[in-house]
Amino acid sequence: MDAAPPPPGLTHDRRAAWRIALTVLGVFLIALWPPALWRWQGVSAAVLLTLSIPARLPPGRVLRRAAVLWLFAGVMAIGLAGRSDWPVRAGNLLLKSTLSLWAVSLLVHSTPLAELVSGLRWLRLPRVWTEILAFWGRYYSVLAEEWRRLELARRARTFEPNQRRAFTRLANALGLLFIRAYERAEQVHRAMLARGYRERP
Amino acid sequence: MHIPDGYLDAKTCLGAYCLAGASLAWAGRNVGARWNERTIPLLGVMSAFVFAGQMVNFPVAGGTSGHLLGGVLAGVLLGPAAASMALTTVLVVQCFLFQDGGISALGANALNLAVVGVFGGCLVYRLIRRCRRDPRSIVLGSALAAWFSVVLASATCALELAGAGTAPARLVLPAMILTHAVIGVGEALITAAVVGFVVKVRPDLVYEPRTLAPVSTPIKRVVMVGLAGALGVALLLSPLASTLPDGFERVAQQLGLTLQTHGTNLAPMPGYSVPGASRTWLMTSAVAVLGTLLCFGVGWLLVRLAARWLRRSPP
Repeated sequence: MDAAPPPPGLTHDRRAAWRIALTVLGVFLIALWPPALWRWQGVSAAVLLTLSIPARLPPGRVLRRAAVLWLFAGVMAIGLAGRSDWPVRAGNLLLKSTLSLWAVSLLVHSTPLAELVSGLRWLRLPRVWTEILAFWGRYYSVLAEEWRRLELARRARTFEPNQRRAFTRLANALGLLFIRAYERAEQVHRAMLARGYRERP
Repeated sequence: MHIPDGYLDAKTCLGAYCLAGASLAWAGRNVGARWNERTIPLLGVMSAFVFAGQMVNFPVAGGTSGHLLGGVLAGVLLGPAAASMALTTVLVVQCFLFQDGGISALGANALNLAVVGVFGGCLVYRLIRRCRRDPRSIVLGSALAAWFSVVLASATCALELAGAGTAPARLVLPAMILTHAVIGVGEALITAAVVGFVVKVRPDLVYEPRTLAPVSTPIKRVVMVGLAGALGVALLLSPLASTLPDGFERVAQQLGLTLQTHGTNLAPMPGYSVPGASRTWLMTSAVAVLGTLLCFGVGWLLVRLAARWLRRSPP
């Protein structure tokens, strides 16, 4: 929250920071562009294409995510059908959401999470948010693994339950995952204290 | 329910960012006061838990499956402030890493799911807990709260889409609320079942609000948060500015006092319009922002003067 230089030991990636800032700016430009001037979006598409080819952005991944957006835009188009200018409006929704998706995919494809977090540190995002993001990246895979182990243990030790039991069993497992996650957070905190962590470095 | 990029216009995006930012800054202060330096590991691991919980597919009746949203689940177990921060982290991750929901609409998505959904749901939960104090009320309260949270979030989302002019309100509002009233039943069942298990096994983990020692907040931050919140309200509600005469004007009309507003216009912004701004929404939003800033400035000045006067007078 303050502009003081961040603590030593945490990485601050200026190149990632530039990428994040340019992507966010570009997405805002694409998303807030006047709908009547939609032909100018061709410029942003050209820029994205020239950046995507050297970055080797896999088109299949972008298209798979974009399919969901196109479905959503189709539903919105049905809602807009009564108006006279609905093709422009619905087309803009489709175009803007797809181009923004492309821009964000490019950022994430070219920059891993750790670099994104250090870029956000360089941009002086409040420390609590960058650190929560970093912890998310660290512990998401741990919890996913924990969940896989819970499922495996359940399958090894119980019969296949019926439909109604399946629901409560899954909810119990999720509750158990919460308890383990909470205990893990406490362990992590104690370990951090043991290594000399302080709130304000 | 994640709004993609391009569905909202500038005033809705910015208004939602201001309002969500102000709420989250307030939440951050509360969380910091309660958990001190445990905040970062706890919220980091908990946002990972909410994310993992959203991945689990529950079999719902009729062969369909649904997943948890987790706002009220986290709110019941960690408190609303921590839950809104954890959910915002999940939204940021979904927006950037999984391209689910847009960057420009991130403020709106956080406002719907992490602020309105979580705080609205937790309000319902607290009301029910206040009536009955046995452990069963925790499960019942979290079920009802989960349903309300989903419906409230969908209603806010529909209002934002309507306010941005993307979809007509009379179509999108009922459609969103009706579909989410059904989705909310699934959310309520899952939340109640998970909370029920945690209450059975570790009842000490359920969040109970307690009075905390007041934390002194720098006045600059209070001003920033207050101003951001006021600007957000002004920007989001500006499409509702009425062109109908207000109460004073109506009384004047009924009494036959036609105010001479055509020839000499003494008001700085007559009829809520800025000279020079051509677009209507831009005009209304600009007036809303200017009015907010003006009222804020006048209020600030009055408080400063009052404070000085109070300090000077003998106790």
